[in-house]
Amino acid sequence: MTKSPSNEHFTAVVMPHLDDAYALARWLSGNNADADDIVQEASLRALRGFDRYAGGNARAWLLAITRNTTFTWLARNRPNTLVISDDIENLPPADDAATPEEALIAKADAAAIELAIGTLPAPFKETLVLRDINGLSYRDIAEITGVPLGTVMSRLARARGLLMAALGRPEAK
Amino acid sequence: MSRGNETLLTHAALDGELDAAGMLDFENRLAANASLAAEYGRLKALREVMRRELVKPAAPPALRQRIAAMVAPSASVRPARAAPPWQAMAASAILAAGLGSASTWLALRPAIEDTNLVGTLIADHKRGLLSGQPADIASSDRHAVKPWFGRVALAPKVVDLAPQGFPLAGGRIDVIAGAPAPVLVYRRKAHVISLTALPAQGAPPAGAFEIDGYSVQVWRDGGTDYWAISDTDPAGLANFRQLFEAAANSGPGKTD
Repeated sequence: MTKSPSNEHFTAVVMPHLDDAYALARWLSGNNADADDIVQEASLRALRGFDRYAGGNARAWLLAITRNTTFTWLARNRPNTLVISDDIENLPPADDAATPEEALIAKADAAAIELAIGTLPAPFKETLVLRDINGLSYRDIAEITGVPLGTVMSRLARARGLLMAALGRPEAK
Repeated sequence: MSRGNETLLTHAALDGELDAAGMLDFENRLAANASLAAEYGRLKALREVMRRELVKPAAPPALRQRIAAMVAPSASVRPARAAPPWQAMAASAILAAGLGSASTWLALRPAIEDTNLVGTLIADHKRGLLSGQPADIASSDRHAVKPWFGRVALAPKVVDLAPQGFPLAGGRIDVIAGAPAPVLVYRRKAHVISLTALPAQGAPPAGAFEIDGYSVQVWRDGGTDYWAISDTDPAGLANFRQLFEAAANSGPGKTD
């Protein structure tokens, strides 16, 4: 069962987007070693499902597989890190008394930002990472995460709202 | 407009997701609404600080190599196995030697060993022949082959040598040391020539030699090392190299 012609094609389609897949897995899992395992598994899945790749946006295709692999992998290997709540979209916005301060947000360092992103609920986190780390359009994010455009927009707003609250709170400094 | 929608549109404006009319409308409301402007300022500050502080991590080279090895045809038999341990490789070498010849083994070896670049190139050349498809894009038209390589960083010069007896057969992309490398495929009578372009590294390689019944020619042209591999006779390959170099350097009009 030689698959070499499609394997060469696979290399050309997938390899250019490996950094994006790794960045997504790294941010969703929170560490490099896990991201390594996840991206390898995602690549294997992509290879096996390559027959179903119908052309088009290769990056979104690979990221969708990576995203799904990440959640399966985390559920299997890191069951405690995944907080999944059905009601997450319906939670009222956090009613922080203090309005976050722009100047404090601007002074945040990498460790503080990483901590704040790390504590976001998974649906908010993945939307934020796909937009602000991977730089994808709303439409691509909707396709990858399998939710309507409006949900992408509200998740992104919630994610950024939580980050700003965490980084821009006066007592945090 | 509801408060919730206004929040969403503020983010959409920041992300460049609004069309011109939407943006114009947003800017008008921004000018008239101080609290909206403050929120927009905070969002911009958040984006700036994330860009400044967060580094987008790159896939480590070892991971790239494992995936490249997984994708190599030899691994498609057992895709779950990445980077086989040396004992297993030795065992399959013995098996291959028993079944056919040592060259069979060489052809089936995954292209992951940077230490033996020539061996890898010959293996890739053989793999192309064994699969019956030495080129992923089969075309004798260099204007079709050249843009096809747009997907790899290093685009090789593509020249037409058909009048001189070396018709272009197409191109493919091999994985050399974990990175995609463009390969031009030419024919000479019944023989196939694989011409691999690699980013120039170290001392300029140059020369001609024979390994395992294959002729090899290597030369450097600017920032690119060209490796020509073929089962044609050494004189024929030397002739190919001469013609290729001459055509590649005879002016931009001939090579684009």
